[in-house]
Amino acid sequence: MHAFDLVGVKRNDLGELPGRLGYKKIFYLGRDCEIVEGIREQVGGKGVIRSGNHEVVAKMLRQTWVIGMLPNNDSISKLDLQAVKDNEKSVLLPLADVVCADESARQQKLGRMRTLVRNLLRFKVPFLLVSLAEDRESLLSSAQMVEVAGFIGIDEMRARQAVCRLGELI
Amino acid sequence: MIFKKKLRYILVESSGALNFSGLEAAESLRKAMLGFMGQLHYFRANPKVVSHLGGSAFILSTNRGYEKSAILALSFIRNIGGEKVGLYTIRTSGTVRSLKSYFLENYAGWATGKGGS
Repeated sequence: MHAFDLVGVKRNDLGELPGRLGYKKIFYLGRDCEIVEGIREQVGGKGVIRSGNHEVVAKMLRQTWVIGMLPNNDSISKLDLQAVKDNEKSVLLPLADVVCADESARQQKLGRMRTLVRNLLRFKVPFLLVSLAEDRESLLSSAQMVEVAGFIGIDEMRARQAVCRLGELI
Repeated sequence: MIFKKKLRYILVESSGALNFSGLEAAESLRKAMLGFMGQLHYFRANPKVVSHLGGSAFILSTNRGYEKSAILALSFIRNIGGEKVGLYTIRTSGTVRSLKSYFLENYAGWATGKGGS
């Protein structure tokens, strides 16, 4: 199985690093995929919705170019989880937010992420693991992604599958 | 009975060059791992830098069974010696030799000190 990641770093900054980190390919925000926060038409490649408004989320999840949704303030409501599941989309879990958080905010983010993971597993909602790293220092190797996923409550087999599924969607 | 020490070795790459010839980087790494693992877990894992390869890669040893904890702790470390850094776990193995041969195969040019991207 090949691992994939989605990052916000500029492509020129990474060079051959993706291969060494254990990824077959790294996708870049702004080029391969974009974060959408409101209702709009497709502009480039695939999109990921991030919004606290359920109507916006439900409408955008019906679009074929939207592959899933990101947590808004580290949480997703149960209505939105149901919409993700009904539309056969996925929830993207950004791990760099948790790992790179300040000491004061880390415990809170970890707790919220664990609650989200618990809900995802309980309601059997498909999910992907991505880093969404904004700089080179925030990147994680594929092995680290699986370990951090284990830390927030995802078993190893599911974590490995979640790291590999992004390539099928983008 | 002879109790053989069973170790696991981790190949780690950092986003910037780390100078392990002095004590500052090693001490800073030790303190950071101690902070994330806690004294009890750190004592059981006993992580140590055993080999420094090229400009920003090194091999860390831990007691077998605690390599996952070490990998997790390395993921959370953002600062070594006052500098912002990212530590990437590349590979784990039971011998230093296999990691060194992997490093020489895949990090062409690093062995001569030219560094990598």
